[in-house]
Amino acid sequence: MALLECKHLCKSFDRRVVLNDVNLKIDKGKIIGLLGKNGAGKSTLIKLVNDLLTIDSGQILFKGKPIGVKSKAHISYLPERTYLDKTMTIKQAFKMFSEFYADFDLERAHTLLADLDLTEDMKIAKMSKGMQEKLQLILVMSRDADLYILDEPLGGVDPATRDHILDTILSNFKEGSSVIISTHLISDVERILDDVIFIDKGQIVLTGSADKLRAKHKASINDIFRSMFYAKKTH
Amino acid sequence: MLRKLIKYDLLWMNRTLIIFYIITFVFAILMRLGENLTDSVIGSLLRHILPGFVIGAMINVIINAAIRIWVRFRQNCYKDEAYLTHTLPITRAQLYDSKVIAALISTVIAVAVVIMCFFVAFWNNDMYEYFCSLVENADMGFIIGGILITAFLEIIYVIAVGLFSLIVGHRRNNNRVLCSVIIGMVLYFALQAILLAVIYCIGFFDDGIKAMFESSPENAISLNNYRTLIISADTVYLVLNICLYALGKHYFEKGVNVD
Repeated sequence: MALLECKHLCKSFDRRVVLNDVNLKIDKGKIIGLLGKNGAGKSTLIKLVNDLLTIDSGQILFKGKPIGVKSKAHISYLPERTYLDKTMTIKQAFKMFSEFYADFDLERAHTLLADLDLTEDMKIAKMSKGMQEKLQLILVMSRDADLYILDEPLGGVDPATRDHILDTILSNFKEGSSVIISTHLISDVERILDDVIFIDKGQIVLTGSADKLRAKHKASINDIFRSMFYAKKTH
Repeated sequence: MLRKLIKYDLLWMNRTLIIFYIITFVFAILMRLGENLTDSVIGSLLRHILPGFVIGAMINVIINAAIRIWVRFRQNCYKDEAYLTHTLPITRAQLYDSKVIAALISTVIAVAVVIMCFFVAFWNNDMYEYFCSLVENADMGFIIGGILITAFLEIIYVIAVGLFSLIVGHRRNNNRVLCSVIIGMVLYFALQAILLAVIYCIGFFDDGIKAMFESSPENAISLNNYRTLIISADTVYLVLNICLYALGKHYFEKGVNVD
């Protein structure tokens, strides 16, 4: 049974079709890159999986069951936005996550906090956007989830920090779980990906093993992506 | 889970409201203390200004409580914070109930603060004796209690309309706030018209109420009529509040489209 499955998924905003008949299967124990240009439908797909948007038609199944309370207890989601209550301190945010998520590992959160040079008594409102994003990454990666969904985790950070973020993700996700990383910064994440999903204009245009694709095309994932989406325009 | 959600909602709402509560209490206490400053110009000035301040602060407490409830609901369920709220392992029904219960508790606290400040600022022997004389008459006691309940239900009703409008307005993809405001205003006046219509219909069976809608309403002023009016208004408000709660929950459970 697939960990996550999307069947004939469609989503429109008014008359604009954002996702059109998306079919997708995510297996256990993989790091998957959800790759596409800005506006391709990556975030919409992720928001649908996380129950942040209503589905027009189709179905999303997590371990064979429709998404709901049980799937939310096992999916750890890092959105693009900073979603924490700004009036809280880091300590209060940790307490909140401990109260709501049974799989939240407070000890790991404290270790990650020290690694990323943050302290518990910091007030979120007084932290920079970058620091808030780091905190959210700590909260998400401190959970022993079955599926981690990271929406643009590298957006807006410098190259050195990108490596640090990727290392944090790699060294903290639960063994046997899967990670979906949505990004348009392909060259940065390419080294850690097992599988890739290319999405364009609301449709899945290519899926497969990153290694097999590299061997088949004799090019990096980044080059394959560029040739698929940008070469067309130049002709 | 519900208890935890309510705790966080109440903490957020009352973190700011407590400042308004303190300010209102300070004005009320100053007004009470100002009664003793009879000779000085400052005393005289305070006695004239403070009643306005106290009443303004009391109204502000109620308005701010309603605004905090609406803002919390919008931020938590439709804006950035919704990315966490809707991914917590809770049902939408629990989420909605937590908002409604927290709203009720916050309103009760705000109303309690207003009543306490009223007593601190304005209560005196004359008022006590006047109130005793009113309450001696059981009907009048009933009416005063009824009016207070009506006022409370009206506040709850305004808040419920706001929450319902936010849910319906945010089902759209564009102009969500404008849509929520328009729906809220239309709904408020439409439901007030229903209340009026219900009372008018009661007039078919009650001559006293019927007289209120006729050319000489002064004939309709009687304790019995007030009693009927209050019972009708309280019943209609209660029914409307329950309907708004149920409808809001129904739409909310269908799903949200977060910005």
